[in-house]
Amino acid sequence: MDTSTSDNDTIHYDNDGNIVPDPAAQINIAQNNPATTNVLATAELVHHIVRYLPVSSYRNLSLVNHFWRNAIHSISLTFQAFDAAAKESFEATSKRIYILNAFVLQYSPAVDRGLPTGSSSHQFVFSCQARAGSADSYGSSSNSDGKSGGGESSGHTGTSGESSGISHLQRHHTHQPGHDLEPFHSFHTYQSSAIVPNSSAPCTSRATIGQMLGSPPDMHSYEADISTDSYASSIMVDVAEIEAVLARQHEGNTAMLKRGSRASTSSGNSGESSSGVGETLQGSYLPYASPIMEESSNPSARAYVGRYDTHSLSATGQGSSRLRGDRERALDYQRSIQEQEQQQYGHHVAGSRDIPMADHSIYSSGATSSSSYGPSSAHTPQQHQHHHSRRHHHAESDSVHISTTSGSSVDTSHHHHQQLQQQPHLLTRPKRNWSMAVETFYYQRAALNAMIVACREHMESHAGQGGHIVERTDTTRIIWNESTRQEHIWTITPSLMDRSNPGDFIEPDYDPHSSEHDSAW
Amino acid sequence: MSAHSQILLTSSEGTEFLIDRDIADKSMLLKCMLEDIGEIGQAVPLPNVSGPILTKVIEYCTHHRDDPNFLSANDDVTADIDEWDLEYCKVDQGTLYELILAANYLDIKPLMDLTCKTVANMIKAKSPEEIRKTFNITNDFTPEEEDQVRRENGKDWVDEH
Repeated sequence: MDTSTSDNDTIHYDNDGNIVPDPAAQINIAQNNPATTNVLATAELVHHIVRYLPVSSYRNLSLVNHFWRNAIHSISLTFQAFDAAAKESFEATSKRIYILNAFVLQYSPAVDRGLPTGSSSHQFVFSCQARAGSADSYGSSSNSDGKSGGGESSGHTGTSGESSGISHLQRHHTHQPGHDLEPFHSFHTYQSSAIVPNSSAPCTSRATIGQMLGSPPDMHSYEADISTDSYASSIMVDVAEIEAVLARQHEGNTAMLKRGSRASTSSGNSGESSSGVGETLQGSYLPYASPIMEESSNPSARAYVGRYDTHSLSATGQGSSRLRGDRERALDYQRSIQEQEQQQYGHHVAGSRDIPMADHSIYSSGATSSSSYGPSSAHTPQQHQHHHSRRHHHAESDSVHISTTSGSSVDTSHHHHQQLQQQPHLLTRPKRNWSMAVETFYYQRAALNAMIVACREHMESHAGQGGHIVERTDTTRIIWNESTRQEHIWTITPSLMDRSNPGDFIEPDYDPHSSEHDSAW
Repeated sequence: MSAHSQILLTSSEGTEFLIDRDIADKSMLLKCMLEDIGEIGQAVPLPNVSGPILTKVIEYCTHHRDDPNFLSANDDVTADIDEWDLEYCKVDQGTLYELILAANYLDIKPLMDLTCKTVANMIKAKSPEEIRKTFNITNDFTPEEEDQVRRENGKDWVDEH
């Protein structure tokens, strides 16, 4: 070691620039030197010096004295923070997990034999439920349990023949007196086939109203996409449009109502294109836009379904604020129509009811409704994504009931009563069973990979034959199987729950005064 | 303002140093001060820097006056010390600490880094007792506290060796 030395106060270095220990010099250095005191007593300077030293030397430095220990400790905190950040980056210590939800919704098979059946025809049935004390009134009929109760059918109208291409919608309502939870039970029957626009549709056709409302013409939500809190809903109908329609229809209400009754009572009758058939619902059924997912998801979106079985009412969740104020006028007008009908036919007509609808366009009709249903008409609504999170709240239910509107006339209820007698299988309460599974993953890509694999395996499985993907995003896969009536849904949702500490998950607190209470609970 | 204008500095003893502006600009303190108040034609007093230390500082800045990487030369803590800088730091420890204080006061970061790195080299591979001896530091730990610190160190830090 080549050491250069001079006097006692000179630091000795080797050729590499390192200090050469010189006990004699060290004894003399810094003695009573104010500069030394100032430097080594200033934390900033000590910190500045120490940062040139390896971390392994911090252990010894912290043992020099309290001042150095504090200085080193502050540095070590920085080091530890960096170390934790490095571990966070390079090790699997993620604080979040991703949940892969897998849903399987089983839709009931067709039960309404009265509908025209064909090779391309399928019926979609889901049941509905309204709370006790609902303002609906129903006529007398038999319910599915064989009890005496209110039952009515709006009937349906379709095009001629099974292969006519117009989908059908039937709505059946049964009343179960004394049943607190399910005072009304109704279900819809959708029959899928391609849409055949009704060229003779009057101005009340869905397309016209839908276009006027600015709604996607091929966007369909359920005919009565109703939650159990329908009593809290409000009308969101473009009343001006409805009134115009109703006014025109009201001018010739007698003939129109007769046609409507005839149309509604003619099951499978599709030759009414020149009359009430024009008020057909021609929406595109979205198999994944399940009502259970939609309900309460957007309380501001409401739809109003009138009682006019022969009239087509178009409603939309859009423009709710401007429509809300016209509710009373619409109700007044309905009451006047109802009175005229009562005078004319001498029977009670079911009242109207507010129905909360999904956050997309609603096309409702009464006796004559058609809905395209099937893969060809499937669309991917943007609203779908956020609805999945609410599915958990329904996990405990194996049957979903969805309330619906009611509308009846003597003819329709009578006909439906006959139809029920002729078709005992219609008395079977439709079910929509569903199941779900949850998996958790540290990383979103892992969840995405699992979702892709699950989707692929399902498609390749025997049960998945015939299914097709109707939605494919980074967080969602939806497969609709027309033959099995199954809807397989996978969704990925992030969770802030720390997997290492499951107890850190806290349920959202209940606040009855919160404005979001109605929608959240 | 000319690039070759000169600035008059006064040390704590009253010694005046006339240096070029670009050399003075190596000090962020002087640079910012001159930019703020301009050249007032008077000596800039530096009461915290003695004449000999100011001479050493000016020597350092003059040597690096044309160094384009002057401000970033010593950012790397693991960088080797330049040969001239190595010779420059071969001073007694008192002068070294004075240079640290002067560099800190004048805000000359490369000089600060150089001197601190030199002190760090003095600390490197020394035991706590040797460090105390080197810097004449009194051990104010009680035996219990020292044991506790040792235990904490053993838990918190992983020896890199």
